[in-house]
Amino acid sequence: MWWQGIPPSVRGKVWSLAIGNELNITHELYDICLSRAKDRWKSLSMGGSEMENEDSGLPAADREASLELIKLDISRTFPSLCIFQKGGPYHDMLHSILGAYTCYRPDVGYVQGMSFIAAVLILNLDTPDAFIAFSNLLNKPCQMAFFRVDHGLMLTYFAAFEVFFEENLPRLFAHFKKNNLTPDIYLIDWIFTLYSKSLPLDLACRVWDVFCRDGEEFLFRTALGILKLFEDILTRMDFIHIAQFLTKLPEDLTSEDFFTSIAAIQMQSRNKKWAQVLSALQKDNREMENRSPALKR
Amino acid sequence: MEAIWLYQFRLIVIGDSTVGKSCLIRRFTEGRFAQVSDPTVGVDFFSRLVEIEPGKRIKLQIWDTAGQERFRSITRAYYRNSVGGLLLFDITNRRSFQNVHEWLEEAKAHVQPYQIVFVLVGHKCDLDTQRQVTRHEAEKLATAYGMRYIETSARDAINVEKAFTDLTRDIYELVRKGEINIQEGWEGVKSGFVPNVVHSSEEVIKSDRRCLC
Repeated sequence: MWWQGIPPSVRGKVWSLAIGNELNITHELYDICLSRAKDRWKSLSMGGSEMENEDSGLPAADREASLELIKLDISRTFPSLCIFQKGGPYHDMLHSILGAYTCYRPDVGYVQGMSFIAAVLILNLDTPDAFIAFSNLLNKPCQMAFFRVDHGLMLTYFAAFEVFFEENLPRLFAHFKKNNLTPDIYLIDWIFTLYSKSLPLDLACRVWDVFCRDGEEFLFRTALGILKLFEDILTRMDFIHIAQFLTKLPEDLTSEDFFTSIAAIQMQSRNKKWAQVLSALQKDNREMENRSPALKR
Repeated sequence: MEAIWLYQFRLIVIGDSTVGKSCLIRRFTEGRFAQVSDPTVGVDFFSRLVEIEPGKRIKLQIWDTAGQERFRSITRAYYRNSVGGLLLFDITNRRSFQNVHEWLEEAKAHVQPYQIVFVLVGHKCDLDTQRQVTRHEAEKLATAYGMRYIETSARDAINVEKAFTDLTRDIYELVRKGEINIQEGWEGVKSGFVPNVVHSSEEVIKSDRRCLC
């Protein structure tokens, strides 16, 4: 069922269960966060600049900017669906979830890309449940690394990805190396938005289905599946064409080709699984840092 | 087949979120104005050929970066391989203008050992009634940093071509004079001729003279 696509009628429920609620967020907590967010919006719109600052390390101006940014980004989320824009049926829900999240996790705040994840959840869940799934999803190690823009850790993820890239697609890997095409070029957008911006929405939801079961590993496996699917064309392109192609994938992807290609990717490298490769690289990094404290940030 | 080009320049477009970076680039590369566009996550890519003189084409590789502050640790890695940059602010948003200084410092700190030629762009000039930054003060700031200043509108297609081509010409001049050189391992400028053939600046000037005479 996971690979065939979960029926839309139960998809939200299945996602919720698979993501879990490690953070023990209740509907009441959501209400509290939301009402705090609403207070802030009110004081913002009344021009109050003296917002209390106790629970956030951010200066008031930054937080104000981030609330402002949420407003602007909502209308830029899936613009072609015309449901999240002002006056659209899902506008307020998206606004609520993102606003509540900035109150729940002021240390993370709002980061561009989040609006897409929240939007996909809203399409499948009630607002409070979407908030619970959203917060727990973002709390996963890979998502936290990206949304906090922990550059060192992101590079470790990219390095682990490259191990499997070379193993699965050596010819394309060499071509990318030759063209200085590093994984950040295409992975950042894919991972930040969990493919919801770059893939057609129905395919993105099916990626989420398996991602909910297999975890972060599947995000990177999907990336390799995409590269494998287009290996022949990509091998004939130069830097800018590859970069443009991968950041705007063809819209006529068929789900069958797509998932067949992902299924053909081996997530084993010299008998090591994704998690093992990743943790080995993390360990190397820590040792490197210890040896050269000057490079620490 | 792709048209033949003399050089390829890599340009980076920076500035606060929602100042209209992607819209400006899309107007330039696709010739249309997108009413709504996705927020850029990480970086998007565009390219276009520009003819700076009859028969002399430059290929522009344009990196459209995410404007949100959180992404700066990612985007700062992209400065050093760019030869030119458009630094945008929104003329109707004072804060985006105040941040120009910070963007330049950020770029300066991360471009070493290379250099970037910047142009300061006051965007959304069609919204003149909502203007919060005067042309005079923007020009003053640009002069202080040794940049050109230009006001553009993606919506009304004002000065969009000019912003990109003026910058391209400026860089071309520096390349021609040998102040910017093609270097192994640097992506800022690439030659469109046979790879690995270095044309001395003198040769280029000579051929240039022939063309103009």
